[in-house]
Amino acid sequence: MRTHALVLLAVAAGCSQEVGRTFVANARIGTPMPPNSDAQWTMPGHDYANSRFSEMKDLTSGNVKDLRAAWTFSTGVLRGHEGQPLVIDNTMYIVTPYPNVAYALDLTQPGMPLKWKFRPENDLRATGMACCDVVNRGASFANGKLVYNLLDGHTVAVDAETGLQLWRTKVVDVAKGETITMAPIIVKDMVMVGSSGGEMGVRGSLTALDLATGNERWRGYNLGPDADVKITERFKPFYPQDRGVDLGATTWPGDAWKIGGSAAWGWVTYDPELNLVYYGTSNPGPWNQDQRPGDNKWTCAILARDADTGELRWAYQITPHDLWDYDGVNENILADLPINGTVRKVLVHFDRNAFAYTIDRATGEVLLAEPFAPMNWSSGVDLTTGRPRVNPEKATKQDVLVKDICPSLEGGKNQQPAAFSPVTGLFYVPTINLCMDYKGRAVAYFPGTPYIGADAPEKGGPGGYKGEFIAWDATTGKKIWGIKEPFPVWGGALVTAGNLVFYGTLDGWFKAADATTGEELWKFKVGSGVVGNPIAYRGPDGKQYIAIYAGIGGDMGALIAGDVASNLPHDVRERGTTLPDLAKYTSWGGMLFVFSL
Amino acid sequence: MTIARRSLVAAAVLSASGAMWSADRTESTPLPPAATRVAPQAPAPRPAPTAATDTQGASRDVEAGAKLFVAYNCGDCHGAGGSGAMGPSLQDNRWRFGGSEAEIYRSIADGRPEGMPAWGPLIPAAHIRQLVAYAQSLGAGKDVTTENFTGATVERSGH
Repeated sequence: MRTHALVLLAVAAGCSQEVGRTFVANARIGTPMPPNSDAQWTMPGHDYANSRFSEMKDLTSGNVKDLRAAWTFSTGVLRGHEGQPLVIDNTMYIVTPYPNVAYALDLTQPGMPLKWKFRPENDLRATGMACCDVVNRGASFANGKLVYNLLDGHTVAVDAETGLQLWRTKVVDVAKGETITMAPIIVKDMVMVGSSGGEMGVRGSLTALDLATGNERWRGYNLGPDADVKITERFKPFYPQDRGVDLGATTWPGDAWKIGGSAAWGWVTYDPELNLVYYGTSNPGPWNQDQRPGDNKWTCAILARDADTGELRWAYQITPHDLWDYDGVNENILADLPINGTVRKVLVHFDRNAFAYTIDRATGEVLLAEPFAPMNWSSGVDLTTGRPRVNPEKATKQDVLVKDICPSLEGGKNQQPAAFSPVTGLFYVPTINLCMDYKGRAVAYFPGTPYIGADAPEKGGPGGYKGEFIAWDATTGKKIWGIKEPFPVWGGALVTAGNLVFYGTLDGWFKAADATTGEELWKFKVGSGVVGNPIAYRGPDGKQYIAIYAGIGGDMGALIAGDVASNLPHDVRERGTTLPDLAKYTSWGGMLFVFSL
Repeated sequence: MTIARRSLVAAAVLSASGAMWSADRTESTPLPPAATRVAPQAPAPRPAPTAATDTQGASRDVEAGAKLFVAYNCGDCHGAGGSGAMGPSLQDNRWRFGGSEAEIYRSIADGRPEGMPAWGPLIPAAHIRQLVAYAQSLGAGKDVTTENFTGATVERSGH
């Protein structure tokens, strides 16, 4: 034992001198970093690739133990704080959950006083239409404008200096159950906005708005005939089953596609060289599969659109005819990775269905698909057709109770975004380990109300843990290391050139680990469970700061945690069985925490 | 979705639960004030709802209401058995807009500002009354606090 310990010490000492071991050589972030990017955070995923990689090296595995809270700020809202703040020119911008208040904090002044506070007009009805808490996943910044979405289906642009509203555009109709929770990205002079409401019988879309005026430039529906989906002769899907006329309508019974869901509530990425915008689509509606025979295109799919015209260039249906609410909306991280000796332009996608996909982002060809979390619904993805092989024992049906399906409808991963380090070449992925029983049920459609038709109670997955923060090699489809967590990891990841990864947990720990070894190096108990995403920025004093929201909520916190929701007068529930102990560790919150040495 | 299709769907639900239209009513009592209110979108006043005052009738209303709760998708918002999901729990005996028969009737028929639609135009008054009876039965006598760590399973029905 003693010898063993000595060897370990020696290895540790050796490791501390290198910045980080490279697991995948010649790995690159797939898009250029924004200017001055080690000081700023101008878009949700830090860059168009959604790498969530910071070039800062001030914090390292050697000194992170001395990280301490520098300052905090209460947002005044007690709901799920998904998303992340932005930092531009020594100003921090925060957008809260509904009512979607925006704050600008002056980082150059002691106490970070407000430069302004903006409270938009925001229809109260939206709070009863949002499926999974009244979250907002953040803003984007360009040309002196802060642009973000309102829960009630509008997008607003605010003057970043004055806090005055420049424009406000209705993108979707809250009366039909359509809301917006996603963070827009700004491509050239356009704002990309996706709709929410996959549980409400909506018809999902991605819309490009003019950055200067807010006027609609184009809208691509995710369901319906080719003209609406913006399928032209330029559409070149890789797999034969995705070629044909009006598949977004004909793969549905009758006109069921008109209320077939397929929302676009996740993250959007952009490749400037290919001029393609990437996003995923949600589950088909209703969940009850007997009411929608067919592949139900383009639900649970990754779509690549021409940024200028909105034309669909390729599409890949991840989970055709979804039977488990496995939305395909998770982020598509753009990277250039060596695959079988050749550097390929890929996107890497950790799906709800618990497969991690490495996909050629020019063509939509699946290069690799391997499970990254416990699962039993499929035995694998057929790479010649791109289709998953479904385990018939776990296929859901109306009026049939199917037990122990893994992962649960929350997925092996949900909205919490992963990060990519070009230093190690690895992806850092917050994951979930839950299973479910599932029974489909005939359901009628009433506008503005849920169109679901299934009961699906959830429970902990195999192994006695419910979440794991993992490092993933997307060139081999293998997990390199993992940190098991007692609860699903519902917050996103940050990785730095200092070879550190940061993430928060539902029970309120904000943690730093070594990106090479997965060794936990530091943690701090914040005021509420974490469902947000860490960012790094350089303060006016030249120091590296790490910022994170605390504020439990979102789908896990608001709907499953039971008692966690119980401080709301209208939502006092008995303890849930999915996360029975969570309420012992956290309660509602709404705080920004900022850390430095 | 066209109006015609929506009506067809609603009709299908009603016909599926049509047996409950003729729920026994042995006595009539004066209408609660809310019951006479008609939602703005309602084309015409509904038939006058009646209250069951005998226990047998009341328990039949609760049973019928439980079936209607599923038939009208109430559980997709309010959770299986009213345990709470997108919409508020109905099991906790805490009522944001009042828990009296008249108040719950008004919440269902006229809707409420935080997302509860006005069901008056779609659901017959007799059915609303049965839904009220069911909703009232769920939380009767309960006040679940944050300190309660001994609760039963909460089934999740939607997100």
